[in-house]
Amino acid sequence: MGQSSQEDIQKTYQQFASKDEPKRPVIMNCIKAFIIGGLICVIGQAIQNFYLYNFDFNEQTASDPTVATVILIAVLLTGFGVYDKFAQYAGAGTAVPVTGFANAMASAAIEHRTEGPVFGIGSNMFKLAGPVIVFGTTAAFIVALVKTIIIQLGG
Amino acid sequence: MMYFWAFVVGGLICVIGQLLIDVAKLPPGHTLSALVVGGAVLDGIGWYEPLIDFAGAGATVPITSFGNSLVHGAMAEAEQHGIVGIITGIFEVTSAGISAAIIFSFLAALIFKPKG
Amino acid sequence: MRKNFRIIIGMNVVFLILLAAGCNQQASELPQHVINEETNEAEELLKDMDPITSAVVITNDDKMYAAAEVKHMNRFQLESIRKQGYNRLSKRWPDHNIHFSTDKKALMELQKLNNDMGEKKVGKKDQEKRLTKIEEFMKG
Repeated sequence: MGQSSQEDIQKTYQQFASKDEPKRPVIMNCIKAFIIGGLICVIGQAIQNFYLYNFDFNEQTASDPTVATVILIAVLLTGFGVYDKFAQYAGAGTAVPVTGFANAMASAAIEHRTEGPVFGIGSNMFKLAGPVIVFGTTAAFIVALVKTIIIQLGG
Repeated sequence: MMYFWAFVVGGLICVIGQLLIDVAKLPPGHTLSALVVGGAVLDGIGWYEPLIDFAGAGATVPITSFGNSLVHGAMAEAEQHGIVGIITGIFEVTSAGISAAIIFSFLAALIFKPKG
Repeated sequence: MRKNFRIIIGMNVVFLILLAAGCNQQASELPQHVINEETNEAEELLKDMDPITSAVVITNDDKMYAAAEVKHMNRFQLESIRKQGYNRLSKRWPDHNIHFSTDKKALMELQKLNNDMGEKKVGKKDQEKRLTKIEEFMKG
């Protein structure tokens, strides 16, 4: 058997295998993410308006209790075991809003509760949150530094 | 009106996340970190606050707003105390989100039992 | 099971939205009174600006508190609209201490105060207290 016929066999196999490959439904995923993510933000907007109209918050400060409330809802849904059903369906739709962040923390905390509060809950909570906080903080530092230097040079 | 744009902008940010996961093949940790950094950079350029003015919760609920808040806190302190202010001010505005997540998650771990 | 979930969540979402929408309507239903010539002129000056749809102004001695509602599509330029409005008011009344905000809460509270003043429900001291609170809402 020569080299070329080996390659032929491989090529034929590739073509055969690719037909049965599960195609990643990117477009469908994006649509689901768009709708669910949008809905979560709409609920967040309703919550924000609730705080704006009924308490002493203005447009700037109302986002704080809103985010805290959304996180609380996400943690509760995680605790009751309901969150995963949404997350599987929606993909980035639930992962990108703060709900994803809260769910990652809460589910890790609940999962590892048997290992004790310090090494179980305490250290596992930050598995996903850790990189987010580290990179966010470092990026913010660099951005703020560059901006401050530019301002001070211009002034 | 605000509800419509909150839906659209929030949805679009999630689509960006979905594309990072599906097309760029980034795992969730990388995706979220990238989005937070994106939020920080957008605030540095001065584009994130107008987005919040326009889309409300569509811009404050996604994780990108963490990045925005971090830069905001840093810049607010830097205006008063110079470069040192960057470090002292970073967590000033974000504290609500992070504190809530930590406290509620810990309490949840005390109350709820893991499934399965 | 899955179908039931969606229905329950869907109903909750609709309920929440209706709740918030219901609360939203309170602000626009108050009639707006003319307090004095100055405030009237200031309100017209602001409404003259293209992106502004409505405005409320209240004066207290030489302090002027103004809030305006901006067309949604113009909300991207909220900061420059704020500066524009402030400049307009300062040019017309250079000796006044001007506070101008586009914040919804400030607008709401100012509208409530305007209504109460028009119906003579509030005394000078109360006015000043509420105006100080409104000033807090204007910051940021």
